[in-house]
Amino acid sequence: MKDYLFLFRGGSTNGLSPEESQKHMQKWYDWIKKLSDEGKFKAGEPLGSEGKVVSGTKKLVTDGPFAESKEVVGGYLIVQAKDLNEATEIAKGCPTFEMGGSTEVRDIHKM
Amino acid sequence: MNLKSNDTPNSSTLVDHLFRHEAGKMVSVLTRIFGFEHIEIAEDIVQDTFIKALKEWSYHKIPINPQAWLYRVAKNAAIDIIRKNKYADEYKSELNFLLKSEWTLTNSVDSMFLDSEIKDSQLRMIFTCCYPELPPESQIALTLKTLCGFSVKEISKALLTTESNINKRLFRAKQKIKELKLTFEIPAAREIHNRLEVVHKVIYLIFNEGYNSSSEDMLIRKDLCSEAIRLAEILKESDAGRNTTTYALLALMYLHVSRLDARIDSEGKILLLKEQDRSLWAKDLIEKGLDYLHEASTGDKISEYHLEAGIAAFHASVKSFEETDWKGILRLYDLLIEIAPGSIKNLNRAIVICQIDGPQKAIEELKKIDDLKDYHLYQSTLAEFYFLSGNYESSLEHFEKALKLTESKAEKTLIKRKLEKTREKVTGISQF
Repeated sequence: MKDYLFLFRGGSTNGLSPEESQKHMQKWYDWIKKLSDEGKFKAGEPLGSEGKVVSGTKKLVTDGPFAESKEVVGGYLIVQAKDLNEATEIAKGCPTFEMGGSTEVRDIHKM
Repeated sequence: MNLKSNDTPNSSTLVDHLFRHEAGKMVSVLTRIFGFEHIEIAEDIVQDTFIKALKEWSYHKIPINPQAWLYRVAKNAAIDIIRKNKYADEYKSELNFLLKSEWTLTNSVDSMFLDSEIKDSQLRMIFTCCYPELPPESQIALTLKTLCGFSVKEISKALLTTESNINKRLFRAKQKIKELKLTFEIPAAREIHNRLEVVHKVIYLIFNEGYNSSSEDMLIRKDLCSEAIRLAEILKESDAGRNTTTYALLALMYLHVSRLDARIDSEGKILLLKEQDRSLWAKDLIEKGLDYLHEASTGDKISEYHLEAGIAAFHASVKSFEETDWKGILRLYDLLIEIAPGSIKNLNRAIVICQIDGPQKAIEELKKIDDLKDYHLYQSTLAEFYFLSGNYESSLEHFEKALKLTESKAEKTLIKRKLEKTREKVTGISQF
């Protein structure tokens, strides 16, 4: 079993009514709960929309995060899976796709 | 379960009532969320929630759904605490990972307050409080405190001891459970039979405290009986807790409790079985008891509760004392003494013998019991038999002994009444 990082981009729920937003959040809960019941969920948080970007050798700080909303990382999950294929299959169950979001799947190197 | 009470609709009475009925549920749910080693967090949240309720409901309106209000406040408090301690604390509950993620924190806490989960949490709490390695007094105190919404003061009044003693028992019991690192769960199938036996015993003892206690506080005694029944109902509704013995225990409790209103008259005097106005016996409770007895009689196991319920059923199903089937009751006592011997049962059996074979025979039976000399009911029963057999001198002697052996005002009054009757016989003059 290895750890994989899911990065969720885009898929913003702005513009949804409170009930629709609530229903969407429920889908996130149900999906993660299922992963947890299967022993695959390790950690994860939604990320706030405020942020800073620190870049370059001069460590320039600008307000962030990004110009394009579809690049905004809205949250992450750390999931356990056998291999990258299984992790990717798991990622396909994420509710973010309904909202036009995407999920990046990366394996975590243990040093 | 609805025993009569005199509620006046004001916020403090409502809060008291809700505490009795909801605190146990809430502590159980929160303990499941935080894990037993953090039970104090659970208890504090519940305590704070009710204090808030008392304050707010006195100054503003009582909410339309008080239970929902209480749950919402408790949930929010739990979520706040979990958020604050996110990186510090490990909650050794099944929910640990889900509590640590903002994705799932709120919904996880919410889901624990669903009806089915509340029942499950209470079941886990019952089995934990009744862990076999704890002494019975601790099991009872812990159950009453965490599951039945009893305060330390109420428990000490119910068990006729000091608050300091109760606090010690509670503390030690919790420490023991934490030391043993018990997981907050329903026991595995192979253990469940033994664990259930202990739970049944604790429920029986709690019921007994309510039914037979010398405590002056009638409301507490009624609550003890209600709570014992409620706990047994929780057992009955779960696969883990439901067996024929659970049904037998429920039968026994419902049958006894049906007579509660008839046992004490309007002046607080105790009325004996033959003096009771049977129209005051709660027919619906008797019916329920008999139904449960019927359920209990399926299967091939028989327990002492079955037999005690059977005896209670003999009494409950006749309209008058005179119609009682004493021989039937005797058969059950003989069986009961065989499977679960105990002098108190022999005492009760002697009373039945008196009805069938007369007081002389009954006195002989009582004399065979040698370890109840300091029990007021033994002495007063012996006195009663002497009275019936015409030996008034001996009757007086034993009533006097009985009087010295009980602290209960109501019992003393009853014994004095009998003493008067006996003295009249001895002197031939009625005394005022």
